[in-house]
Amino acid sequence: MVMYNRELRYFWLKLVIAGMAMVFVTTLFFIQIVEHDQHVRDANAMRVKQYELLAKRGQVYFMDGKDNVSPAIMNERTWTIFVDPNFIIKNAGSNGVLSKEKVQEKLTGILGDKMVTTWDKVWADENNMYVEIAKHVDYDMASKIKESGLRGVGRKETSRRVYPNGSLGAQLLGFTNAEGVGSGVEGALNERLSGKNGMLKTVTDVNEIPLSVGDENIEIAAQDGENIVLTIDENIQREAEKVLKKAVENHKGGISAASALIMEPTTGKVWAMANYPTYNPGEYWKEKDANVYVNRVSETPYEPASVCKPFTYATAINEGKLNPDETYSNTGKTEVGNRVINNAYGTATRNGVITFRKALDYSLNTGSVEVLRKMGDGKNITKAARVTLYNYLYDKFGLGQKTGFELYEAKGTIISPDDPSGEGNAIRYANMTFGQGMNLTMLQVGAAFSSMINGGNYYAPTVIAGKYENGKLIPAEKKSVVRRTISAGTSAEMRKMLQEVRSENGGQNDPAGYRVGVKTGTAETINPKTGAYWSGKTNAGALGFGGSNSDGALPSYVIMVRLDGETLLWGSLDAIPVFTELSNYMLQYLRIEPK
Amino acid sequence: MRKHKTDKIIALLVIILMLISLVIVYAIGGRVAVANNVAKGKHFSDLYFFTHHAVTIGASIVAMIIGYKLPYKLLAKIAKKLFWISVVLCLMVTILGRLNAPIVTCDLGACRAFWVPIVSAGFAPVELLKISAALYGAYLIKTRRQDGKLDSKEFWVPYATIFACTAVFVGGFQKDLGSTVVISMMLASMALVGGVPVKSLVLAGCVLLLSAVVLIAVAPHRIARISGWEGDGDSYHLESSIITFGTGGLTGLGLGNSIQASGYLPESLTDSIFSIVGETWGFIGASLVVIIFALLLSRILRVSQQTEDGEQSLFAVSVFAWIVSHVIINIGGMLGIIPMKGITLPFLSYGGTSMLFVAFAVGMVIQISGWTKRKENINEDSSSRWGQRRTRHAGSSRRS
Repeated sequence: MVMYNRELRYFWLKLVIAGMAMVFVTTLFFIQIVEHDQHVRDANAMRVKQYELLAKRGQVYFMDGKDNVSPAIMNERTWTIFVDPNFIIKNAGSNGVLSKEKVQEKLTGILGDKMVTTWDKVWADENNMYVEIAKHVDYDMASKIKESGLRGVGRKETSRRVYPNGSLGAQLLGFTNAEGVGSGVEGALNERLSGKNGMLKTVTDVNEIPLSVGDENIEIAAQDGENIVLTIDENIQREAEKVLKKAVENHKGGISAASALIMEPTTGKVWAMANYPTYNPGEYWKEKDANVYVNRVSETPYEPASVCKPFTYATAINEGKLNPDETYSNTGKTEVGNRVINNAYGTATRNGVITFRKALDYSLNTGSVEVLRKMGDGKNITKAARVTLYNYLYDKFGLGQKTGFELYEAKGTIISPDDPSGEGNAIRYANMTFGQGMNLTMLQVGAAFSSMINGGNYYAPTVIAGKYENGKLIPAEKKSVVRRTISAGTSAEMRKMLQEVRSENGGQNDPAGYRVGVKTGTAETINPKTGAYWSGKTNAGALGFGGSNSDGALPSYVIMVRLDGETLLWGSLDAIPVFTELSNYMLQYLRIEPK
Repeated sequence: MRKHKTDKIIALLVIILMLISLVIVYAIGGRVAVANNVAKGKHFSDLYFFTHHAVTIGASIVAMIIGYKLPYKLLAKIAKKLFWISVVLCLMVTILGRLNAPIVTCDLGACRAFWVPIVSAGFAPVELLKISAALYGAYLIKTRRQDGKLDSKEFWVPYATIFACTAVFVGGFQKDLGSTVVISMMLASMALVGGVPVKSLVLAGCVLLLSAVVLIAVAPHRIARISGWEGDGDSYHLESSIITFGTGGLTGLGLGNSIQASGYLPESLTDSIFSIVGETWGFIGASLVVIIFALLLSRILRVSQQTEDGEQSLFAVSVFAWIVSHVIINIGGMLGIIPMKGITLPFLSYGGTSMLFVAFAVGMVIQISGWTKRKENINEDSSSRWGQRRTRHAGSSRRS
C-alpha cells in the first residue's frame, strides 16, 4: 500500500470549495454592490430609448347644409416599405432569409410601380441597413408584404392627407410640406391641426421593442390635433367654383383668373371662397405655377373700383351730408386739382342734372366725387372731407386692415389724408370714392359690405364653424359684433339704393318676390412693369346681396365676384351674369320664401 | 458493511437548484422567446422553454433515481468497455458532424447526436465519456493501489490514455476545451485523493503545463482556435454579463423583471443563467446560489472521504471535481475572473443532456453515501442515528 496523508489531500479539496465561494461572493459584492451605480448607468445608456409619440393630425370638414358636415381633408393610413440590405446579404440562405434576388423578385411582384428607387441602388451598399423602397403604400399592399413573411423587409405606418373632393376649395384648404409650412387651412391652422406630440421614454429589448419593466419608463400621451369644421358649405363652394369655371371658359382666354366670395352678412360666416384656375392639393407638387396656390379672396389685394362706391354714399348719408334725391349737374367729367376725372365709357347719355341715386345706378364717377365734395365745403375736396371718408373706410369699414380672419389674409393699403408722403391728397381721395387708388382684399370689402347692408354691424369674417368630436359638431363660440359702422337707417337706405342699381343691372333675371341689390365695378389695373394702368385690360366685379322681400328682413347672403381680365372686361357685362347665377342658386339653396 | 441511510441533503440541494432553475426559466422564457422570434424568425411560444425545461428536469430526477438504484458494482464491471464505447461515439459524432449528417449538430464546441424527442436535445457522447472515465479511472487507481503499482507504468500508461483520448477526441476534434478541462480535473482529483505520490502528481502537472506552453508557443493561433478564446463575441458577452449582475444590486430587480434576458445577454437561458440569477435576486440571491453549490460540493466530498470502498470513494470525488470545475469555469467566466468558456452550470442551465448525466452521477453518489464508515453522522436526526448504529452492528457481525 502506498502511504499518504489522505485527510490532508481532502483538506486541499475543501480549500478549493471555500476559496471558490469566497472569490465568487467577493467578486459579486464588487460588481453588484460597489459598482452597481456605474453598471446601471451603462445599462440605461444601452437600453433606455426615447420615442416621440406622434399626435394624429386633425381632419378638416366642410358644412353640408345647416347641420351636417362633410369631409374636406382626411388622414389616410399608409405604409412605408423598407429593406435591410445588410441583413439580407449577410444572412441569405440561413434562418429563412431569402437571397437578394428572391427578395427582389417577390417585392417587385407585390409593389409593381410603387417602387421609389431601383434595385441596383438598394443593393449598392451592403452595409446599409435601411432603404425605403416604397412610400404611402395602401393597406392591401402592406398586408401582402407582411403575409409574404420576407425577412429583412419591414413596413412602417405613416399617414397621408387626402382630399376626398379633389380640387374643391383647393386654395382655401391648402397643404403643408414636411416642415409644417404651407397654405390655406393646413398652413394657417397648422398648430391647431397638428396637436402636440407625446414622449415615451422606455427600457427596450435588444430589438428596441419597449418593455413594461424598469423604473425609467415615462409616457406623455400625444394630444391629437383638432378636427376643424369650416363654415364653408361644400355645396355653395362647389357651385361657386363651377360658375367661375364656366365664366372663364366661356370667355375664351379673356379672363385670366376668377374669384368669388359668398358669406352670411349677419354673422360673418364665409360660405364659399372660390378661385379659378385651381389645382389638386393632394398632388400639389405637380403644379408648376405657384400663383395657383394663393387664395386670392383673402390674400391678393387689388383695386376693386366701382363696387366701392356704396361706401362713399353710405359715409355721406350717415354723416347727414347727402340726401340721395338731391341733384347735381353731371357733365361727364369733373376737375380735381389739375386732373380731370371722367365717367366711364358709354355713359354720355346720362349727362345733365340727375339725382345722386341715379348717379349710383349709372355708376358715374362724377357723382361719387361730388358726394366727397359735399362732405367738405360742398365745392372742394377738403381735408375734413378726406378725414371723414378715411375714418369710415379705414376705421369703421375696416378696409385696408386685417379683418381678424383665421386664415392667411393680406392687409392692403389705404393712404391716410395725414400720410407724410402727401399721397393722401384730393386727387387720390377723389379716386377712392369709386374704389381706385386703394388696395383691398375681397374679404375686407365683403365684410365691410355685409355691415353696410345688415343694419350697420361689423362682424369679423370667419371660416371656423367649430370642431368635430366623436361624430358631433361642437359649434365655435358665436362671433359678436366688432363695431358699428353706420346707422340702421343709412343701412336701409343703402339696401334700397343697391336694389335700384340691380334693376339696371340684371334685375330682370331675379325671380319675383326677392330683394336683390348689387353694385358693379370695372377696375383699371396697374401694369406691374410700368406702374401705370393698363390700357387694354380691366377687371370686372360685382358685389351684392340677396334675401327675402318680407318687411324688415335682412339680406341672407352677400356675393362678391372678381374677374381679372386679359382684355377689357365690364362689370355689368361679365361679372353680373356670374353674380346672377350665384344669387339665384343661393335663393334656392337657402330656401328663402318669396314674397 | 451494510447499507445505511443515505445522504438525502444532497438530493435536497440538487432539487433546490433545479427549482431555482425552473423558476428563472419560467420568468425569462417568454422574453427569450420573443427576442429569438424577432431576431431569428423563430416561432417559440411564451411557455416553450419552460415546458421543455420542466420535462428535462423531470427526466433528470428520474436519472438521479436510476443512478441511486443501479448498483455501483454493475457499472464498475463494464467501466472499461463503457469508456471505449464513449470514445468511439465521440469520434463518430465528430466524423458525422464534419460530414454534415442530419442527426448530428456541432454547436459551441460540443457535438450532439441522436436527437431525443422527449427532452428535445441531442445526446452528447462527451457526457457519457465523463461518467465512464470516472468509473474506469477509479477502477484503475483502486486495483493498482492494491497491487502497490500506483507509481508504475501499469498505472500511468492506461491513466494517461484516458486523458489522451479525451484531449484528442474531445479537445482536439470536437474543439470542446471545457469538457477536456472538466475530465482532466476529474482524473486529477481521483489521482490526488487516490494516493498518487505528490512528486508524481507534480511531475504530471509540469509535463501537462509544459506541453501546453510549447503548443501555444509553436502554434498560438491553433490553440486559440481550439480554445475559442478569440472572437469578438466574447467581450460583448462578458460586458453584458457584468451589466446583468451589476444592475441587480443588493436584492435584484425581482422575478420576471429581467431586462437583459430580452436579447442583450447571449445564452441567458443556458450558459449565462447565473447572471440572470444575479439580476433577478441581486447579490443576496447570487451569493445564496454560490453557497448552495458550496454545500452540495462539501456533502459530495464528505461522501467520498467517508466511503471505505476505494473505488466508490474515488468515483464520488470525481463527481465533486466534475461539478466544481463546471461551477468554477461557468461562474468564473461570467464574472470575468477567467476567460469565458461555453459550459453549463449544473442543475441551473436550461436543457440539454448534461443535466441528465450530472443528475445520474449525483444519484450514484447518493447511493454510495449509504455505504460510508459513519464516523460522523450525515443525517442529524436521532431516528437515523439509531438506525445507523443498528446497521453497523448487524453489518459487522455478517462480514469478517
